[in-house]
Order: sequence, then structure tokens, then C-alpha cells
Amino acid sequence: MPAVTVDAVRLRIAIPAIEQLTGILDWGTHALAGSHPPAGVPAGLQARFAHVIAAGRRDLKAASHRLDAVPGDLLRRISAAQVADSPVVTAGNWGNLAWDAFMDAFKAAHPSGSAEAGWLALKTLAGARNSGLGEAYQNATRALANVHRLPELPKSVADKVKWGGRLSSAANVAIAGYDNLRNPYLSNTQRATRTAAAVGTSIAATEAGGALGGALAAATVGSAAGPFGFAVGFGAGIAWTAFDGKFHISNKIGDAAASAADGIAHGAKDAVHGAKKLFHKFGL
Amino acid sequence: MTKGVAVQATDSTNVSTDGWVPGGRAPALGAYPAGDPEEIRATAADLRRIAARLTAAPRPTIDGWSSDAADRVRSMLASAADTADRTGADLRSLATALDHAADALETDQRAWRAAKLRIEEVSGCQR
Repeated sequence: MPAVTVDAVRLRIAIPAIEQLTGILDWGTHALAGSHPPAGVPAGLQARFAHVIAAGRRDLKAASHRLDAVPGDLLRRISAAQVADSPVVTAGNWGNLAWDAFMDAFKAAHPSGSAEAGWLALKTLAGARNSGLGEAYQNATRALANVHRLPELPKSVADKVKWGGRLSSAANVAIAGYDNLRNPYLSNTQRATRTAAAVGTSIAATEAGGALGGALAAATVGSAAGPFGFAVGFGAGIAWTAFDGKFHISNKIGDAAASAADGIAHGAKDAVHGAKKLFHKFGL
Repeated sequence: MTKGVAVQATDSTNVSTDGWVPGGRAPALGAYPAGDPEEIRATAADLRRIAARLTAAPRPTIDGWSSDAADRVRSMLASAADTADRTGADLRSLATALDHAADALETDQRAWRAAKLRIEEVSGCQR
């Protein structure tokens, strides 16, 4: 099954033209109802006249009838698309707030060497969206230099922050699941595979952040890797939420799985295209 | 059949459409050809007016929506617009045939009146 995408604004623009077409078809049906073959035309032409008028009325009426429900259907889909989109916007706003919180937590303590490397990689990747890899790396390096002047994060705070990574991943999955369930135009297979993909990619992103920074255990498994290891994992979760909200990667992966389940390869093509787009965006 | 109507046979002479035009050396023309060419042309004009509006119907395009349902709706819209176009073309063709029929009827009626006039002139001379 191919991916379902709905652009509410562009879809709304089509409705007046559809209603105009339906109106013309109805008008034609009624106009032909008053047409009768005039006296004085040969019998053959009279028969042709009757046939063309009857066939025209029948065809126009059928075409109009088939389009009757389309404007209403489009309005319902527009409404559904707007509802389905709103959690993504909410997630984006929430992600920004959480990212700020992560930055504050990061700056409040001394990172380990491996956590620094992981944070640096994530910060560089995130910053590359706006300024390119080189400049993003320089900015991240400067931010990291400031961190060394800050006092160490107390253990009680570190334990609390440790849960942040898990909450970040859980929130990402919850939002994706809510989004998928509320979208009435996804098949059950798509709902299941998209949500599963969100779970998998969220954990994978947190793991990647952890692997880069040595923070995987603290962020997702909970072993003691230090407050900064955790903070990196937390940041990886947030970063993934933001990336996924922007590029719908997990949806595409989910649709690829749905397509495989349904025996159609279209979604896989979408997933590959989405991944290529992401790599291109980050110059990878 | 039109009966008892005086119509102009030539620029200056009226002739009754009553009666029968027998054949002489030419085939018999029979009764006056029924029908009003102008009425036929008016019907043709009506059909052309309907055809013009049908063929001017918009072809709605749906962007920003991709799914199986979207493909079905696009197909329905294209089919409806095609129906309007096809019906318009059929009506135009029918209107053209009606115009030709009106021309033919007008020619027959003129020939009948001319023949009737000749008969009346000959019978007047014989008296």
C-alpha cells in the first residue's frame, strides 16, 4: 500500500472546480430534457436526434451522480489531515522545549570524554541543517569548551536526568502512535507498522547517540554511565523526534513494512527516497 | 404537411401550399414538404449552446493528495470531464446534421412552390 499524504490547503482549492463541474453536468442534463426533434427532418435524423439526446442525458446524469459525494469526502479528508497534523506540530514545539532543557542540563555538569564526543556529533548533525557541517562543528566545539568551566551535576539530579532519555523516547512513540491512530485514512497494517517503526527508530536513535557518546546504557538501559552519558541519550531522543517530525522517516519505514505485508513494493521506494533525502540534507 | 398557407414562390409572387404537384416529364413533387427550416436551425443553435457550455466545463485537478482513494477520485473527475466533452461533441455533430436538413428542406419547399406556380400559370393560360 502506497504512503498516504494529504495537503489540506491544496485539497481545499480543488473543491470549487469540482462543484462547478457537477453544476454544469446537472445543467446539461436539464437543458437536454427540453430538446425534441423538430418537424421536417428525415426519419433517420429524428432517430439519431432521440438517441443522442437520451444518451447525453443519461451519461451526464450518471457522471454528476458519481461526483455527488466527492466534495464532502474531500472536506472530511481535509479535516482528518488537519487533526492528524496537529500532534506533529505539538511534538515539534515540545521537542524544542526539551532540547533547551537538555542543553541546560548538559551545561550544568562535566561530561565524560566519550559523552563529549557523542554530544559533539549530535550537535554538529543538528546544526548542519542550517549552517553546514563545518560551521556546526565549530559552534559545537565552542559550546563544549564552555562546559568545562561549569560545576559537576549533583548525583540526585543526574539520576533524574537519566529518566529524561527514556521519557523522550516514550513520548516520541506515544505521539507517533496517537498520530497514526487518529488518522482515519491509514490501514490497520499501516497504523501498526508505522507505530512499530517509531518505536524501533526512536530506540535506534537513542542507541546511536549512546554509542557515539558512551551514553546508551544510561539513556535506555539505565546502567551507570554518568549524568552526561544520559544527557547525550536524552538529546539523541529529542533530536530524533525533531528529525522524524520533519522527514516522517519512521512513517516511511512503517509504510515500507506495510507494503511488504501487503505485497506491494511502493512504500519501500518511498522509504529509500526519504532516506536519500535525509542523507542529502545533511551532506552524508 | 402544411396546408392552406400562402408562401412566397418568387420575389414577387405568392403561391398556396395547398394541393398536389403532379409529375409531368419530371417526377411528381406531391404535397408541400412539411416543416419549418428556421425552427430546425433554432434547435441546432440550442444544441450548440448546450455543447459550448459542456465543453467549457473545468477539469479539476487534485494536488497534494496521494493514496489509492485519491487515484480513484482523479479517475472519476477525468471520466466526468470526458463525458461532458464527448456529449458536447455529439451535440455539435447533431446540430450540423440539423442545419443540413434545414437547408435541404428549404430547397425542397422552394422547388415545390416554383413548380406549383408554373402549374397555376399554365392552367390560367389554358382558361
